[in-house]
Amino acid sequence: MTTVTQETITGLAARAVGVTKAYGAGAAAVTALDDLSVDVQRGRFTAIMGPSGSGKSTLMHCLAGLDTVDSGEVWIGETRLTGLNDKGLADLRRNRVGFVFQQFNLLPTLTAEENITLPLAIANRKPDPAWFDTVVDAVGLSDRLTHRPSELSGGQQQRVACARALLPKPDVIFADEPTGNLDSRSGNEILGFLSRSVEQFHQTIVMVTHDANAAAYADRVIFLLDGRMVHELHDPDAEAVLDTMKALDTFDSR
Amino acid sequence: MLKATLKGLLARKLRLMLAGLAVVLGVTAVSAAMVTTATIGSGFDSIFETTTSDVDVSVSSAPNVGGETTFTPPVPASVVEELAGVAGIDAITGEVSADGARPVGADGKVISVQGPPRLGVAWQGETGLVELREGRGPTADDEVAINAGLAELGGYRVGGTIDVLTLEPRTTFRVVGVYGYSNGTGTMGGSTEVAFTEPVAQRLMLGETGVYSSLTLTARDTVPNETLRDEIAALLGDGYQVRTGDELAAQTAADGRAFLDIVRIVLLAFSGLSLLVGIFLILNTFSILVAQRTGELALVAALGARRRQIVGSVLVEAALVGVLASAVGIGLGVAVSTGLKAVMEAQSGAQLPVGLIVPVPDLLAAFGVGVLVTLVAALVPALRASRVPPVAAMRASAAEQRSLTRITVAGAVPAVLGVAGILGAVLDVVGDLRWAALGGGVVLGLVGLALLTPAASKVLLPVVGRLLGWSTPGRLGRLNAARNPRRTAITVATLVVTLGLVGGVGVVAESLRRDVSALVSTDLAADLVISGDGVSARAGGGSGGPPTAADGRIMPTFEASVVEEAAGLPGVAGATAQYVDTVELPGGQSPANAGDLSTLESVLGLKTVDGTLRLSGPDEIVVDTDTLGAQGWAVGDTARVATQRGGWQEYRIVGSYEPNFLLTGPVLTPEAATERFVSALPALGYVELAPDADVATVKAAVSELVADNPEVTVADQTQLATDSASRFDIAEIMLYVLLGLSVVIGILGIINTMALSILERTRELGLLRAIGMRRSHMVHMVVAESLVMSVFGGLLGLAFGGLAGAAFVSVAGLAELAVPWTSLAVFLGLAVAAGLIAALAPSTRAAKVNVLAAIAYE
Ligand SMILES: Nc1ncnc2c1ncn2[C@@H]1O[C@H](COP(=O)(O)OP(=O)(O)OP(=O)(O)O)[C@@H](O)[C@H]1O
Ligand SMILES: [Mg+2]
Repeated sequence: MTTVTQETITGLAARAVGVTKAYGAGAAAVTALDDLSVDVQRGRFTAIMGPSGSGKSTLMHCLAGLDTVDSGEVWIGETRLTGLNDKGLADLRRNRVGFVFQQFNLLPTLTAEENITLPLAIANRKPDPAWFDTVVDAVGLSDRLTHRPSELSGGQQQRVACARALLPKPDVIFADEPTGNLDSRSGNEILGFLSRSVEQFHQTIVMVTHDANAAAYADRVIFLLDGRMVHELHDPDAEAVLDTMKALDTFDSR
Repeated sequence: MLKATLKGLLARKLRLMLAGLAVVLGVTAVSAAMVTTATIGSGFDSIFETTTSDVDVSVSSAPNVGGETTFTPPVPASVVEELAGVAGIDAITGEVSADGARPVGADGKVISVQGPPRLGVAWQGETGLVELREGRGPTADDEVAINAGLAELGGYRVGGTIDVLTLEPRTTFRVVGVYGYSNGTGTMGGSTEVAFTEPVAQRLMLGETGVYSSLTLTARDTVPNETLRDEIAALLGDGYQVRTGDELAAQTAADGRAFLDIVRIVLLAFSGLSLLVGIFLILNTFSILVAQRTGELALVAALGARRRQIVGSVLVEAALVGVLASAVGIGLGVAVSTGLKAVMEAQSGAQLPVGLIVPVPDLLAAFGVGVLVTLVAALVPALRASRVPPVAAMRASAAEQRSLTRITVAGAVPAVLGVAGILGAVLDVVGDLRWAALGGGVVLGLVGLALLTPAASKVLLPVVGRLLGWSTPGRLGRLNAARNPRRTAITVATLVVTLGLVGGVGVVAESLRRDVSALVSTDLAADLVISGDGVSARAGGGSGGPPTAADGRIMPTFEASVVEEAAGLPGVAGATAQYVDTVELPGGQSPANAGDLSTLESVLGLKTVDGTLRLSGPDEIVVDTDTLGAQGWAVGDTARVATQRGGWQEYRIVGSYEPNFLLTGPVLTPEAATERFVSALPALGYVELAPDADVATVKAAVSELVADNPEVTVADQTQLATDSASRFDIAEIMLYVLLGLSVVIGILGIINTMALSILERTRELGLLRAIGMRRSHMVHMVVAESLVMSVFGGLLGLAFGGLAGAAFVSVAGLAELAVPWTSLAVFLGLAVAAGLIAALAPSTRAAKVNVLAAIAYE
């Protein structure tokens, strides 16, 4: 596999170029992504918003190499995903992409610490102890490392998942509604952690959310509708995001 | 609710198929055993009904020794004249038919059939039963006709020759005819038949001319068979058995069934074991299924369903699966028995004149058991699930957290009692009760082990896992195996039991073998032994080996001149012969031997206890001290002994000896043996070498002397030791085959559990793939899980079996505890293989998990 340096030619952590993705066939076909092109800037916090069914999750899955596209190209850094075999994709996910799902992020048989180091362990790598401590401190889990997921609260579990995503220093972390299942305090802790990793560690993060407050943490918000990018905001506040969403809703129900 | 249940059923097709598979397996095994047994049983009945259909009354001599299956002295032809005056008789036929006509096959070896007799008969022409298929009956002394079964087995054709061993050594005959039977088969229950002319049959099969095996009488139409039977019985007196055709048929069928009984026992043992394993499988499968549905059930409960409705819905599901799977199982069982019947017919050369017999009531019982076990298996976890508070159940994997304290305590009690029993037996503190203590201890220990397995898995799985899972996927697999100790325990239960039995039997058999071969080499002074298979065991009172005289069969013998010629060979210091038979003493049957004691004494290492070991005439015997004690005899007494040919006679006991492995029971002179033993020829020959002789050269020379006798070989000491020890082989192998089948079921059990666990963890698998596990990692993880479980089960079973076997060896007082490490390693290897095989399908499935579908999986 090609080695990727921090400074890439494009300066982009991930991008989709003219991506189309449809589910089903014939009359029942649903176009989830419709000739969509998106760039994800390195070291930025990008949020994806849009009504339910607009293609947010699909876009994220395609960007992360979890799903294939019908046409167009997907890149992580300087690696083109379209055309990689399963082994290549698995290795890419392990080393260069981080994930935080809405729920069920952890293996119940492993302790918090083991869950955090799992991707490195699979690759037979040892985490850098200093970096590990930094990450664990940042998520505030130092005293919970030996607990199993069943002994952690939902918010703590999501923080473990965030730490796991951050530890291998991936090109980009994808988070699909990471706060969707949490109360607003736990949710804010997660969001605060995510934006700090962008600021302090220059981590690139892409997050899907339905919550205008959550989107306000991002540097940039992309709005999807019917598989197309219809709008974007830079350094938004919650107000602006809400307005855009209202506008989209009327646009949608037109 | 019912509608929801049915919908649920369809939605979980794969899981239900796996649950159904468990039921199908159990029911298949049981019903196959039932159908096969019924089929063989009625096949035998029908054969023997045909055989005796035109016999009204049969007359034969009462046997001198033992029950119905032993050698019966022949009926003199003079009896025919005696009966000539009886008014009720329409016709009398003298029959010659005896076991012991051993045909030599094209490869120079005797054709062996397992179980059925190898008959030599006198040709009677085509009767109602016998039909010539080719050629004609024998008319000259060197001609024979053979039955079609034998013709097929040995590839004999009309116009060719056949060599036959009988009471006389190997003789060559011309085959002039091949015959079959009126029911269309070529053999009666697998027996081979060689038909000689009457005088030849009498000489070869009965030892003299002018005698018959039995007389067959036809009654006049007006005389009932029973009346004629009683009249003739009164006329002939005690020395004869007079039976009606029906009684004879019943008797012969019973004899034939002795062979069937072995098959039946094997089949029943197998089906019992399969039933047990099947129940395990079903219980396990349903407890997993319900555990997986606990969340769903809790949701239904939260929506307001009552507990009865929830349990009811699980039961309806189980009933549907049980009925369907049991039906399939019975169908498969019938199919399997068709195969079994074919295999058995091919093995024994017998063709059953009946189609498949399907015993409907038995099968209904099997069906009922299948359904019932399924219902119970489903009910228990459903009741448990319905007691879980809805909220707890909706949180994931509530079922995995149950405490092991109760089950561990429940297991510790029988385990401690069992160990105490075994220790009591080994340390000999319980005296005469030691066998009971050992048996009870082993059973209790097994029960304790079963209940302690979950707790043991907590301790042992990490250890086993460390040996196998060094990488991260391996570690994950081990953790998965340790997740639910109860499930792991019940999954490996089959392996534990199976390998426990195998390990125990292995240790006992190896120790026995070591014991026996040690005895042979200490007792036997001869350098070479001439004998047929299994004869030496018979001489020393052991059992096993091929059928011998005592079972109503003829044992391999050779001419006495062989020993004389051997004595004259260069390099030979001396040679002596031993005759072997079974006799009847007032207190029961006993092995009996004959030979020149002046030479046998030193060769067999005999120790004189009392009197002299020199016999001066055929009416003197020496007897071993054990038999003396058992019979209440003393040296100098006159003892009554019945030989197969001579019947009850009086002998003077002139001396006693210590019995050993090679000799036990009364010893007669060679002259007495020639006259009265079932075979007039020696069965064993011992050759001692001159000090400077070369064993290999002399062995070759002696072998040359018996070259024309395909049943007899010359063995040196080591071979003899191995041969004597090999009598445990057959029993051991049969057991292994049986257990092999249960290993197969055990593998299926692991597959089933693994497959269900994989389904259960679909979401986790998706997560692992999402964070970068390769397909190969997934396979590795699942294989590790399966291996850890099977090795754990295997080790536990082998350890328990080995210890139980060692306890047995110690209680039985065997000289040395021999552990067959190689076999044990092979068995452990089998467990590993079982784990690998069981992981095949589940690991492929895990590797193919679609990440996105798995993440969205409910
Ligand atoms: N596996 C699938 N099979 C068929 N259609 C699918 C599948 N996955 C998604 N879709 C369809 O693709 C479209 C986009 O779905 P996607 O999950 O990306 O939406 P989303 O924006 O993430 O919605 P939400 O906010 O509800 O999560 C939807 O119309 C959905 O119905
Ligand atoms: Mg979505």
